[in-house]
Amino acid sequence: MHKAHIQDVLKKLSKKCDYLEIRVEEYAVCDILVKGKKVEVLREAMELGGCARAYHKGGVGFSSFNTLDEMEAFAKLAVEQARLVGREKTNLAPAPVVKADVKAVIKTDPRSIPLTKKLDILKGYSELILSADPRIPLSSVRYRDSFKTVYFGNSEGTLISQERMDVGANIAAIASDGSQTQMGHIGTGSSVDFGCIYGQEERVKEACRTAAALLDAPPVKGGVYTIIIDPHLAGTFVHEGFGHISEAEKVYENKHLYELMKFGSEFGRPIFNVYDSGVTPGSRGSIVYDEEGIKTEKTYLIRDGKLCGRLHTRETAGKLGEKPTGSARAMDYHFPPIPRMRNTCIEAGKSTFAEMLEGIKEGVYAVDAMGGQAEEIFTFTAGHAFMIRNGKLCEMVKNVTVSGNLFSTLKNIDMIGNDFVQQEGAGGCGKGDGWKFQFPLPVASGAPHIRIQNLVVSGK
Amino acid sequence: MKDIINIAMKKVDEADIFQMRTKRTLVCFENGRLKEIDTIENVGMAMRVVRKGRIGQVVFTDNEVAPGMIDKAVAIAELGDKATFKFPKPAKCAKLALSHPDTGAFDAEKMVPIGQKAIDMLREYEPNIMCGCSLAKTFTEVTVANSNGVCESYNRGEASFGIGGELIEGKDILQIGKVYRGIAPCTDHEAVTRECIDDFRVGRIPSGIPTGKHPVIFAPAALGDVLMSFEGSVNGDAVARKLSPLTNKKGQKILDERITITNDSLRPDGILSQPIDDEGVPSQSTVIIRNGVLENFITDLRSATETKLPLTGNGSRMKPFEFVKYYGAGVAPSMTNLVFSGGKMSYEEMIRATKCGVEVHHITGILLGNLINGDFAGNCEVAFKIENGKRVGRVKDTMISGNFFQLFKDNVIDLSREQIWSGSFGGTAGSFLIPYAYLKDVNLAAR
Repeated sequence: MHKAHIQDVLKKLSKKCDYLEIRVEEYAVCDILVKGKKVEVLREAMELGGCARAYHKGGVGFSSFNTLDEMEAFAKLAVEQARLVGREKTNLAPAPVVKADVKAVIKTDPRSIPLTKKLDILKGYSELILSADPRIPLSSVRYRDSFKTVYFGNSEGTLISQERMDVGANIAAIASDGSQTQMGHIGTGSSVDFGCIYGQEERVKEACRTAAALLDAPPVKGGVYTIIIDPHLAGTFVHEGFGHISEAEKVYENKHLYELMKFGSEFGRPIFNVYDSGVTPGSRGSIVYDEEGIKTEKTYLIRDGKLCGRLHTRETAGKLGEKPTGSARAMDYHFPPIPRMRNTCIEAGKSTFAEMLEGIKEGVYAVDAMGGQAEEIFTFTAGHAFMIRNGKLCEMVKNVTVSGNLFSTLKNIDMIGNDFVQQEGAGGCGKGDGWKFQFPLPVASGAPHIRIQNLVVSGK
Repeated sequence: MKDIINIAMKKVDEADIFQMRTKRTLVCFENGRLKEIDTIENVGMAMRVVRKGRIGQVVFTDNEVAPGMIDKAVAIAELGDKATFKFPKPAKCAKLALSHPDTGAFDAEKMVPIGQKAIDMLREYEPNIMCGCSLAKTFTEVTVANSNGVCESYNRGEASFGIGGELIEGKDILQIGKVYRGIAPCTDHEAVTRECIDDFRVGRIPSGIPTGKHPVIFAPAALGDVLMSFEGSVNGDAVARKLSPLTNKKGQKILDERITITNDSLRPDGILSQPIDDEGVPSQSTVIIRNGVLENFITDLRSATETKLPLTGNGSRMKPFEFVKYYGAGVAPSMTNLVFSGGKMSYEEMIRATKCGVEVHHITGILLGNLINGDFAGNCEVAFKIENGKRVGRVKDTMISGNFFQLFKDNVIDLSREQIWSGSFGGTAGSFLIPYAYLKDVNLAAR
């Protein structure tokens, strides 16, 4: 029904602009939040909405709406707005015309799991946390699943319907001694299997031990250190520290940044390889077609330390004379697609953890990511950390926030582990300014342990 | 709305609905030229039902699915949280003028030439700046209704203007941006753009400061950043969860006596003013800190009931991390307009009084820290070195950290006379009326 409607509107309007696309999204979401013994959020949502985006002479018009009966009027508005803006030339990278109906391939469908069953599992984790340590009075178990059907058509003849499933949970133990609170947490997620929610008990127990131990841990002393970061934090680091600058809209009209980001430029030592993949089986970052109808792929961004790729929409690819990468993504129908990451990874290297510790007189082993933020200077916060002295892991420390300049820091990665771990969680990536902020887009990351020289650690 | 409540009441004991309709026009200049015009017209609603003392919640965008969603809500209520609170009864709400006539008339045709002029000004100063500019007007029409007979609507208008850019020199990337957001369109775009140019002028000169404790001037935007850690601890939700370090400190002096902080939902010039909150509770002005003494927490129905704190009408459906009203978000206490008292010095006097220090405009990474106990740490994304009473260059690769409560109790030199509508992340931009804060002995860690 939606496809025919989209096709009909496109037929009427496509001659009035260089390019027109219409997307309709229909989705059901289940949100659960268990805190302590209470089910604080138990909510189901059903959304139906659409958007239209037009290009004319390089200008863009976009509209978003919920009244699908008015799809034609809103698409017309997008066309008019594009015509008002356009003064140059529309330059979208060529794309094959695709006709496809993509069904989600699901192992265990969250929609088949009764709400009571979901709640029982989540409450189980919460109880596990509350009984772990007397100093852990609080737990937070956040769960979300969604099933979305996206209908997409453009004026070139592409017409796709795609189903997308997403499920994930973040589980946190919060310890308190009256004057401070500390947290240990884990995440799990999948695009194909509700099963990822099961069997997290051992990881949850470990998170509890961390939260309680952090109460007694001293804050790290600020300074410049050699840092080993664990695969989880390394994943966040590559996402924040490098992934975002690979998103091509930053580069495509900025000749200075383009110079800095020229293919072949040295970004790291020859041991450093980074890719962003939309095809990792089961990953929350995996998709089939992106929001411009481009088939997704695995895109190498850095090979042997040298820049070799970036993440494109058709527009950024067209303007730079490069190929689209299937990474034009939008959070939902409220937003137009922009270049986004999918599953961003540092490829495994050869070093062992023991080899990384060797020769560090005083350093920090940072574990687990609380999150990160990136501009030219990136910042990320470790869940917890340990001091390294004379090549040995020593006491736990807290409040480890590290930051650094992208360009120098990547070159300071001197060892890459052989212990790659794929990391899936709930939540996602946020990007954009002001009204264009899109959060949270499902993404994932993966990395082995890595060692970085000379990183600034903030402390007290 | 009343119809949906009536259908629901055949099956449940209590019900409330929050409906939100957003209409936005947005004009974007990217990389120095007009790029995109957007029109957003979205609508959605959230419904809570109480049945046998338990809550069920659903969200939907299409009225046609309402009967099915009511059944879903009933089913969810079987498993849901105990309703510790009652929905409010109708009460008198303040009459507020929430829209300025100029905002209604501020359309894309008017926005385009203003944006072009700002871009031209910035490029005239330095053609190598990759400039961006966005102009928007947004109308948010909210209706809150419940089974007790509350049915209140308002339509709030606002306009925004953002100008900024990125300048790359060598391997230094300098990003400067200034945002105006108010109930009426900005009347002096040139002044906002000039501020931006001034920051580029100083920011392109490399400078730095050694690791240690230094005097720091927090510009309103940076004070907004660190206020996020304050907001978390005066939130009734944190009290209900026994997480707030301030739980038992009501009546105690916790900040410098020159500091008064108010959450004012009724200010005529506040972009987040509203006659009722998102649960239908009448809005008010609440003094949180008076002369350094903790007087109130901000609460919604649930946290006020559970903690026995006064109800302040701060129940908000706020999108996490974006801090914008959103029908799909759950209810939690959240600030509306925050007013931080001014002091005696002027901003210029603060600069002149500083021999060696830093003026911080934007800190990144604050949201990644612990937002409840006042600790903050982040990177000085936009910060300037002050030397002998003058801003001399940019401080970069430097982390700033501390505890809000310690710093604003013991280390305040003064607050500026000037108070500026500013903010921090997302929707808080333009909703905090705050001064420059001049502090001594702030931790800075440089490479």
